[in-house]
Amino acid sequence: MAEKDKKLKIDFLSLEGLDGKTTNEKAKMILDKIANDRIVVIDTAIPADEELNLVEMTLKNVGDKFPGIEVCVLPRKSKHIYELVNKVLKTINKQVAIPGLTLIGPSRIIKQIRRNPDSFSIFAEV
Amino acid sequence: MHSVLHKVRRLFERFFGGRKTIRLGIYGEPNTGKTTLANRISLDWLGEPVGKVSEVPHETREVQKKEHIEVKVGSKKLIINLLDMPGLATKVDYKDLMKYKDDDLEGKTKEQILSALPQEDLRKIADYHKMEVHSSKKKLADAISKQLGDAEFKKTLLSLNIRKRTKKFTMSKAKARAKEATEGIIEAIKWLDSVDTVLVLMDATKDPYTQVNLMLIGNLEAKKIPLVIVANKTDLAEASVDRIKESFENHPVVSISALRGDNLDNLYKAIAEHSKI
Repeated sequence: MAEKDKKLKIDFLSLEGLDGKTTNEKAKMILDKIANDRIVVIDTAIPADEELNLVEMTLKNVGDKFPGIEVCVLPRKSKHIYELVNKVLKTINKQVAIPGLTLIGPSRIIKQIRRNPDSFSIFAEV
Repeated sequence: MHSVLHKVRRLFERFFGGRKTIRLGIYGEPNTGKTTLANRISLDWLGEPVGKVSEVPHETREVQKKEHIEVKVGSKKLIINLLDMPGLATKVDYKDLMKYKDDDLEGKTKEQILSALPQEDLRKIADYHKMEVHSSKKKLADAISKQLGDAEFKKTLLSLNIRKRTKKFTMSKAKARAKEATEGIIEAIKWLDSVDTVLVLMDATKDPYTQVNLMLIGNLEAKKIPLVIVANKTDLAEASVDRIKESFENHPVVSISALRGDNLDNLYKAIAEHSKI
């Protein structure tokens, strides 16, 4: 990375920015940002199946210059209520967002994530 | 199609009972002891190992299977189709692999391996097959070469975990290994649609509250796949099973040492109980 590029770039995405997108479209949008060395923060806890899909798509893109991603999903304690609601809504093809926070970034920048149920810290190197 | 048929079978068994065989997936992060446990289960009941164990991450790069392992749990019989999965990760960096030493025996012939191994390892092989232990290394190697076929010889190396590491991974070998590892993880993710029960292996000496563990358990919960968390490496002084129990209090946790074979009976009981056999 050139000296002038040594800056930490973080994109904060609101939930509305992902509205109407399929799981694959969301993953692609996030991975495009990460490929440009950006850290992405979303104001919702992404569901486990979307996270797994994101990891699967990431691994398909892993190569010499892109080793992968680091992810941290911090849901609110009430997430189980929302998951139950989503099970019902799934029958009519609707979902509600799970309150919380998601951080995704390139693993070549994020060196470590330390987490516990209520918080997390990231250690990055640019 | 395969996973759809599997779901139909699971549904049928749930309503009508009579499940006899379970497809048991061993999942977890790299280096949690998945292959050590798979080998222990397979050696105990079938007398043969599943795969190679190593301290190098991503040693298991494809799903390793052992079918029809009959395990006795009290008065019941459990038939397990065992699936040892590559370690789950969100990144695979070939540069990390270059810090480790390569296995010099990989791809070598029986004769080349026998001449590379120290006498101590040749004695172990001879002892294992109850052969006469010659004092001369050459005689010992000749006797082993004569008595064991290629397949039997490689199986013995696996069972005794005999290896030789001298040089670090070259860049091209590390890149090839990283590529295989990513393909293996994708395959392991796809298998989540076709397993009946999952053992989530965790290294009890490390912090269990990782995103990979949370993601795995979250997906198993969503897919309603029964799971048992296995706190492994309890033979090590720094192991803390309580830390795992506190982190995942809604799931059963069984502590074991796959290396020593400690507490496996309780693990089999937990598998039977949570698979609803």
